[in-house]
Amino acid sequence: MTLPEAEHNLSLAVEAVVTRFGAMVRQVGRRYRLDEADLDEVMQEVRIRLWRAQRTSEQIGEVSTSYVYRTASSAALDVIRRRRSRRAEHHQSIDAEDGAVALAEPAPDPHGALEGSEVVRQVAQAIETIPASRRPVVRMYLAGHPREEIAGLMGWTEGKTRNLLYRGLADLRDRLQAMGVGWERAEEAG
Amino acid sequence: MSDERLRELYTAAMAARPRGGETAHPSPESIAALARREGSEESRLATLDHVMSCADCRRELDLLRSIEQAGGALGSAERQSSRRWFVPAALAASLLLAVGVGSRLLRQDADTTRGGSEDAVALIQPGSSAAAGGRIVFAWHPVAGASRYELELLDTSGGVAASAVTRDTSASPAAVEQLPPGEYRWWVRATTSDARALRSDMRSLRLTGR
Ligand SMILES: [Zn+2]
Repeated sequence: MTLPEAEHNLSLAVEAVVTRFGAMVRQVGRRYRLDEADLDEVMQEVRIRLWRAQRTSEQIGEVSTSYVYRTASSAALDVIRRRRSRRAEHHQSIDAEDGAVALAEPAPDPHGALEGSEVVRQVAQAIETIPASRRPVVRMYLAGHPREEIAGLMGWTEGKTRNLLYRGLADLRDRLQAMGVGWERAEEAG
Repeated sequence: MSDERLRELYTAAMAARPRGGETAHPSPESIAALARREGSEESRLATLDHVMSCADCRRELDLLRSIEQAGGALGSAERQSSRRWFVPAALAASLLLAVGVGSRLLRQDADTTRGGSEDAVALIQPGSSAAAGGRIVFAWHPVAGASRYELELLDTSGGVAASAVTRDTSASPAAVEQLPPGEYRWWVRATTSDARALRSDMRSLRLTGR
């Protein structure tokens, strides 16, 4: 067997591990809005790491699920860091090239596209006045996340989640009413 | 207005925000802590508050929590079945041969072999060397419940130089008698009637010239 063949076979074996874990992440990620391209990038990074680890390791040892998971977890952080720095570079280069033009242009009206933009602005303002302990819950609810997901993410009971959401929506309603924005009814949050 | 209308307005408000919102992006570690439920509730809520109003960070959270949950799901499945993935053991073994996985058994092994030394296949003979060109008997200790044993002898390139499948606890493949002197490795995999696979360690064998 030639080395390329051997490497091919090795990559098949690594692939078996990576595929299994990747499939599970994909399955879980469907519940959210996991970007498949993000996952692909992470799993590619995991492949490379498993390769390197196995090449340098003197030990014959098993690699447990938790090892693969930890590898994926730290690979994801690296992918995120890389992406952030790419984004920063991109913005910098845009600033460098078009800075003068951008400064000369008037600031675009952020709400121009939406009818009733005054209401949009008021909603954004009212959200900010909700106490920090319940504001994120209201944000999740308004963004369409089910209550079970909020509870799961924060590690809260169903009751605690319902209570915080109920109170947060009440805060929002009061604030909007004070601003003169009518809110006919708070859909049952509990 | 209705909740539905409020949601629309909220979505519009979020879309109209400057990229990244008004606060700085939390560190990737903070988002990971949120996904893992690590750290104080207060700090996780602060992170969540930003994440829910920032499309970039939200995408990062979705990635991290998908990985976290997959790890948790697989971990508990593994604990229940007490199975381990053995691929990397096979990889490491084959890499000691300075090549990739050349063995069919090693590849098959990927998903099925159980860990745990107490129920692994224990090899008996041959020792570390034997004369090339002669009959060599490979033997191992029986494994409870084993319905079949597979023996493989690998050459230095990781290729299968000889193999045997038997219900017995020994085998002497004829192909071994044709092998030139050199370094080899061999191992045995047992398959039980309930379809568990157990493997031996990889043992070195030097075939010496006459
Ligand atoms: Zn952000």
